[in-house]
Amino acid sequence: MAAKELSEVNSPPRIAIIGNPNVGKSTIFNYLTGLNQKTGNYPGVTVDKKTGVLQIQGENFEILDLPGTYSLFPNSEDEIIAHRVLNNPELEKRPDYVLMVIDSTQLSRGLFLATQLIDLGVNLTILLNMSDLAAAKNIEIRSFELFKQLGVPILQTDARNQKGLEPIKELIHQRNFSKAPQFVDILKVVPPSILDLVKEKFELENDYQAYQMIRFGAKDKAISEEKRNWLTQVLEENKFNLEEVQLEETKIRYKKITELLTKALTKKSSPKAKSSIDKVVLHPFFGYLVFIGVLLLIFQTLFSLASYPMDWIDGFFADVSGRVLATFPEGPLTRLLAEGVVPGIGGVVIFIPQIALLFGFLAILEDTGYMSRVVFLLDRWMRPFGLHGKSIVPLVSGVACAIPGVMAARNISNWKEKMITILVTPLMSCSARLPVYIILIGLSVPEEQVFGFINLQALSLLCLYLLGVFGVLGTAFLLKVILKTDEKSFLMTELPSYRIPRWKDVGITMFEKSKTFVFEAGKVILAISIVLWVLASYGPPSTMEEIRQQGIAQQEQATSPEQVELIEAETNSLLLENSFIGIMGRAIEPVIQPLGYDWKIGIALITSFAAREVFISTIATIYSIGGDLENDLTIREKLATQVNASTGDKTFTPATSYSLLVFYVFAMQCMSTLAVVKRETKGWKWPIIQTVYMTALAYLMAFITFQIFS
Amino acid sequence: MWQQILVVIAVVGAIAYLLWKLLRKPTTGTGCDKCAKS
Repeated sequence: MAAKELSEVNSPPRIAIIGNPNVGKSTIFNYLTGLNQKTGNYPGVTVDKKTGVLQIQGENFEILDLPGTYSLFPNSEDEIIAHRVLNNPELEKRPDYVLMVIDSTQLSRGLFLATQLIDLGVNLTILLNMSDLAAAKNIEIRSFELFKQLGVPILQTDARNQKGLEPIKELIHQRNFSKAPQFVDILKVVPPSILDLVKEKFELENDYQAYQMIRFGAKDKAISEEKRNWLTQVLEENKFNLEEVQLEETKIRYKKITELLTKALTKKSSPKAKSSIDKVVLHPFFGYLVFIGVLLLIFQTLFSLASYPMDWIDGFFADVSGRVLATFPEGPLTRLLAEGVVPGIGGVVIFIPQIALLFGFLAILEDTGYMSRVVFLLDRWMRPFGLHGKSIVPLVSGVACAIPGVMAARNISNWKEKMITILVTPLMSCSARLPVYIILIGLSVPEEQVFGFINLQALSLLCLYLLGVFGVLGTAFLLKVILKTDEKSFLMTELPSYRIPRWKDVGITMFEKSKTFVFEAGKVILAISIVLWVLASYGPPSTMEEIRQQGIAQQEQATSPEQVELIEAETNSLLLENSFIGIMGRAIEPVIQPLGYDWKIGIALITSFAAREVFISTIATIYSIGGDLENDLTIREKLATQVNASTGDKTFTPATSYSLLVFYVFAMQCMSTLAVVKRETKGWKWPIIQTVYMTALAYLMAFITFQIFS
Repeated sequence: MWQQILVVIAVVGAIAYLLWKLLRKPTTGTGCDKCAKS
């Protein structure tokens, strides 16, 4: 152990959960802490360390969930986190105890990391998780034999089905962790003279810690420059070949693990029924067919299943607006509520069914193990475009949201490939685009069946998602040429066993994601709706007063109620056009006119730069002002009946709707993604380049689309 | 008159919230530099 004390005197004991990717660490972390961190049958779910608190009989324990790693030889940023937490003696708060989670069906691979931890001298307990899958594969593990050979406590668990988890708490409470005797004698591969020098300089007591310092210390910026320089000099003076030593250590370790497993493991031949599924879903032709079929099924269900609650919610908010106007005393607050707040909230709530369903489907695909097959399937196909191996995981994550997708790019060790992945991930159609797609497809694509069973609207939605994929491929290819990637990474993913999804977890995901959508996006949307209403209701006082007086004078001369109604509508339209937002909108109108948009859509484009879903609520608010709220028009009806004042044509013609759809496929329009790209690339340069590129691409593609269809 | 006062309060609150969202330095989650470094 390091000379420095492991944890501060008064802080609770710190327990790190570590293991290979996709072995159930986050499930165990959630069980212990009661938190709801995302879990999945999908490697790379955790890319940052997470902390939580476990309380047992009034005593607190800090639990740390580390990203998955295969060894203590870090290859990517997420693996460095685990390496640093365990190795860096200059960090004050290192874990006191370590829970190592191993997939029982992949014992050899898990033991590689576990035995490295043993050699590091940490207080360890091993959890042999996924015991149900091991039993299904006829794998018998003699855990007592393992305990005898390794010298650390061993528990068998089935975290997914919540079996065998209670003893973990008891074990933690009793601090039943052990420092086992060394598994590999590192003195066989590293000269003792160098180890002693390093141990003395860095105040280390353990040989393996000194070896880790020799192997990675010179590159670790968490270590002082003076020590890094010293280390580099020592290694150069001794002509120390780091790669050769690592290779030698790996060979010795695996040899010993193989010997150990001959005593502790029996694997009877098991039926290979499930591999026949893989023969189809990973087939070079049928695999893609199945994938397209799955996507189409999801989109078809999104349209057919979500339309009923959507109509109900839409109608409800339209009714509320009318009631507010009819019930409350006339005045600006009543109008703010009826024309600003209620349509704004309605524009958020209406999309809960789709958001919940989309995330439900994604959770099912991940939990069954199919998502990992998709990653494997797409990997082969995307290589010619400069997207290799690990890029696929962030891209698939980007279908839900670009933010975790961009963060998942930390898995990629090659800098250029990482940059390409970060820059193209926001082009994947995320869930925030879904509300815009659904509304505009509903307006422009007839509800018809193709081939008798495929919904045309669902097919259009699929085409938009595929268009996003083409955007990714094209941009990646362009970046591949510009950035000239020499090094190539490879995909090291595993194909987890197929499982029945945990319906409770799917339900939790649907609830949590809908809640986040409503409360996170909803607060911003509500605030923007209020500001928009004011900007759309007020303008330069003299102009507004003049328009009002003209309207009154015209109404006095009107001869029929129909004429009065017409003059009233014209006056309201003029008032909106001369309001503050109207002035702003008309200023940008020349820029967006070639895309087929009027100034009202232009305003929605500007406000939705904060987040794409703001587009619908902005449109709903702008089109509510001065409209006939007592007619209870829904958002979709309002958009369908809008008429362009200058041309007299419908505002949302098919050409305009298609152009808008294409614009949203390619446009950046997400402040949170920008913030994350800035954080991941450590500067503003790349997020600015990305935004300019995506906006220009969106503009160009929307322009072409409008010109083709108009 | 009271309606106008409430509208002004709502608008000022909304602008303040949007500015706060735009300018604040996140301490957790998205955009939190400190969390990324630790």
